[in-house]
Amino acid sequence: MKNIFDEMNAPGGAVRPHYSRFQEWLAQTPPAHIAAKRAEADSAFHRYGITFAVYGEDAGRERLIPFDIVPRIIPADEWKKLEAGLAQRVNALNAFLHDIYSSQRIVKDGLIPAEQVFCNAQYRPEMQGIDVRNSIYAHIAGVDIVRAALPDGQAEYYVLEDNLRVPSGVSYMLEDRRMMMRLFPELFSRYSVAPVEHYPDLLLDTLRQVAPAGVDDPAVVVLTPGAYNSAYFEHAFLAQQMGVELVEGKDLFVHDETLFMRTTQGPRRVDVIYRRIDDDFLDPLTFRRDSALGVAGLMSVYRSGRVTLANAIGTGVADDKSIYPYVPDMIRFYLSEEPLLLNVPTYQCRKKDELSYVLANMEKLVVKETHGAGGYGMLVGPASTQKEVDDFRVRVKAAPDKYIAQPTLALSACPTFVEAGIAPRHIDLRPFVLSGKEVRMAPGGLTRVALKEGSLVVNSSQGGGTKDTWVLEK
Amino acid sequence: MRLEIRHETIYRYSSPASYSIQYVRQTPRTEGGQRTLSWYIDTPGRRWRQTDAYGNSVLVLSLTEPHSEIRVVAQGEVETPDERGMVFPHDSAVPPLAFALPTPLTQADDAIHKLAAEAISGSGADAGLQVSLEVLMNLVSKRMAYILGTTDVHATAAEALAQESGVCQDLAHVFLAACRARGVPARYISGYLLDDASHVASSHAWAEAWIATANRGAGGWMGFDVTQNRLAGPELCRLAVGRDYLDASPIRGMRLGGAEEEMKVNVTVERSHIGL
Amino acid sequence: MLSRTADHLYWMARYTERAENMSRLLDVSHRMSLQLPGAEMGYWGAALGITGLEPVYTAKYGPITGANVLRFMAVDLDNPSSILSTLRSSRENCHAVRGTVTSEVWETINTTWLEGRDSAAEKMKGGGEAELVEYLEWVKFRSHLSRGVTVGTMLQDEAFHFARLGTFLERADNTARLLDVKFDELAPQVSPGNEYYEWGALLRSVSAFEIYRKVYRDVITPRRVAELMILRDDMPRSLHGCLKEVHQILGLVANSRSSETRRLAGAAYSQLQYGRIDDILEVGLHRYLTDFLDGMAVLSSRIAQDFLVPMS
Repeated sequence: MKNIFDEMNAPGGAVRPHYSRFQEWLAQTPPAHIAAKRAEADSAFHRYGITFAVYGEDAGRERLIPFDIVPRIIPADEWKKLEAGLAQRVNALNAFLHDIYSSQRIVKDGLIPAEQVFCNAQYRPEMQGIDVRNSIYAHIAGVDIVRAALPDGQAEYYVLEDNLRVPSGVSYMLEDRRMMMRLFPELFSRYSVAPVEHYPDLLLDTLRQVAPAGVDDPAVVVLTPGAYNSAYFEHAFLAQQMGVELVEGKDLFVHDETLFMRTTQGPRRVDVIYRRIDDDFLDPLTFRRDSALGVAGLMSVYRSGRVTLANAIGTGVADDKSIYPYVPDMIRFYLSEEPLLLNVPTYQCRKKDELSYVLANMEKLVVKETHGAGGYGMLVGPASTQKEVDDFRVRVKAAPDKYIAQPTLALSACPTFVEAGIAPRHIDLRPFVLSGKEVRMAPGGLTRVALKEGSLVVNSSQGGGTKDTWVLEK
Repeated sequence: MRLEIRHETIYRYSSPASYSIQYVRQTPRTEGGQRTLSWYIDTPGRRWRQTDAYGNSVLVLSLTEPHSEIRVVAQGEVETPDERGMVFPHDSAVPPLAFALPTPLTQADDAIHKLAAEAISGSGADAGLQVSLEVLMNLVSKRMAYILGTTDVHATAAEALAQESGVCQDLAHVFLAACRARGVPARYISGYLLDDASHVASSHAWAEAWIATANRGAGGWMGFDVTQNRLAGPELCRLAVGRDYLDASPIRGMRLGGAEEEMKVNVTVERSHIGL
Repeated sequence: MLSRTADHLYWMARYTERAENMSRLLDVSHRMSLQLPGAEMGYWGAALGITGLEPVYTAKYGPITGANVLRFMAVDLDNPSSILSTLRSSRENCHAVRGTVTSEVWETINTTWLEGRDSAAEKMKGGGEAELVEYLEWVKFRSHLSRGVTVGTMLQDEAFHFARLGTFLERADNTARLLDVKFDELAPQVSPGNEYYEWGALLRSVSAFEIYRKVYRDVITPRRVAELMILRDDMPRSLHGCLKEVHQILGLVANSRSSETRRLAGAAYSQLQYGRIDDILEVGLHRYLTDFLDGMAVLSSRIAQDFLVPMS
């Protein structure tokens, strides 16, 4: 086993300074009290309906995403660096999207092979020539960050992937904080924790900032696929927190080059859509014609610049895993800056020599489908059986273009309540980065934790849990 | 050649529809030596015009009052270039390479891969590409019979090839699928055909492929009328281009209510008499 | 408010009310069947005939028995208009607007469905009429709870108004149907000595037995029963009582095109306000109620067009 960086405990048993007051509190607090609070958290999450799977008739008894009460604490100076790196990265990604859908300089200059962009299934030719407000495409970005141990015992943050389509999870960030403050108010008197509760305000402000030109008081809506979508809770939650309508495609219609929603008081104009529907389903007259979730004609109003979609269509071309290796180059190309955040070294299986390395070393690598998401379609070599590795090798050989591979990072771990008490479990971090007129974010983000011992997969669809994330104020 | 064109589309509903929206791509394109001398479109409802990503002029119309009929009439006069098999430069913001990726309607199955390999041996950058594409056109048109009404309007290229028949749209799709299977960018064209012999419907579709070596390496598009098994010529008027039928269809819409729909299309294309 | 949201709230309330009224109808049918020893199978057969679902019933249960008809009408999900199916529809509508109703409303309606389903599963396994009548009582109780939690916890805004609109339209519809069906059955056959029991059963089914006593302080007569259930403005399940609410709510939610709808509701309301029972009986109760139900159908469809599913 490689050495693993523990966020709380330094090697040799000492508690890291920013966790010392938490450790004191833990030692002083009777276990029965903590157990009672953990039970209270469970029942409160159930009561509020903060759940993950909302499928079928049993929606009153949905599954919870496990919540762990040990916070993930990030010292102020560390966050400051992360924040600057995130802003830089998202700026470059937005510049890339703007470039791809307009003059395509980065391709013409030969930094990224043209076929990587234009033959990418996530590239949307329909976006070509659309003038997007403020040239922002990914208004809401969820950047997955992990921390991995270095040989010297220190650890370094890496960007694992960028989520620029419809990143989810921010409602858990907000609810986890609310729950911690409710359960353990005394902890917050020991720490000065940067607030995150204003995220819905930031989001609404961002959405208003990118409203079509000339609209003074834009009408913003959240567009959901409906009550049976697994993230419906979050859609309803954000709409409610922002005080805007939660709409479905059938609530909207296009007339006279304008988007309207049907209300009991007649048609009302809509200016900005925070959409939680994938590109393919937005307009059956432009994308999938069998989609009943979207709005027929939406694309024509969008093309006219009379409605804003957040995120824009076609952002997937920038968060595709085959484009990921080029992000550091994008930062240099568009911003003339050196990247502040590290990329994980990545082997592109479409390249012959890198493919043969991957095939020969699969047991050591994490292999991912370039278009996959949510922890599906990936192989964690060291955690897999020989048969799983062999099966995956066949898949990669058959379609090398579809795969990339990365060294298995020793993700950092954070103490977590498990059946046997408190034990370290691997974590990641998803900050939510908002881009309107400027780049802003709530400090921290969503910390996901792999509850299975040794597991590196933190996705909620794969049994991961969440933790409150504390960025300390100096 | 000068063509006089009239294109009438009528939708009738068995009970009134309460809402309709239609994308109408029935305005002739103006590149590749094609010129519009006069053109107008008559529609009901509120309408607005825009140019889509592929450079097509799209008229969008919406109706919010109950209606039992939508009638769209496009007509005018167009001059087409006299040359057959001309190669003309790229003309829209979507790069040619984007037309190399298969769409759901143009996914290659084994049969299409086989067909493509038979015709195109090398890659899209080969100097002999044009000849290969003519071979491909010949193969497709020999393999597939032009028969109206044997395929659904949303049949895939693979389905059409399997039943060895289809309309011009299907033949074009098979050609596109085969090109893309070999990495050759190719696009769908919808338009009009002057057919003196009246074998083929006047509302027509064909394909254009990207010849990377043409124009001294700058590349260019060349038209292949697969249905008629010949290179595009003056008898064709180009209306809209796209990755497949869905991007370029002359009319595409959605309605609420209306129950049963009946659609009638009448297209006439005639040689105009210069000087009259 | 989004039209779709209003539509879900309206139907959530309508289905809850419908479940309650179906319970009441089945309850009175059960009571009446007890008065007809020997003829009860024909009675239940007729009751089933009205629903048009006899083929579905026969395919599943075979010969008609009181317990099975009750089972089919109350707890069988294969019957799309059973009480349980209705509870599910109410719950589905509520689920779609979870963010608009209070969490108490959602919890109540969701629990009604979940518990109703579990106990229905038990009742599907067998048991007699008595167990099924218990279920009817439970449904009424849950309906009281839903109504109470709606009135007691929701802000009196548009959401509330559309839910209430659904409640009163459904109730008016159901009271009129109940009267129509039962008057038909009762009027010719009630023997003078049995009046008390049979009209009493009808009154009890709409919780009006005590009210009748209080209002009339006299023997039960069909004329007074009809008057109470049609014209009394202070009787919560009377047509007058329901239309008073409907008319008022349509004033509260009015939009630029709903004036004709409100006028129709107002016309129906004033007919009840100034109507006399003797005039109604002279026209014929059945004809009167048929006209009333037609009027309600027009009103419902106009409300849908004006507010709930406007096309533009």
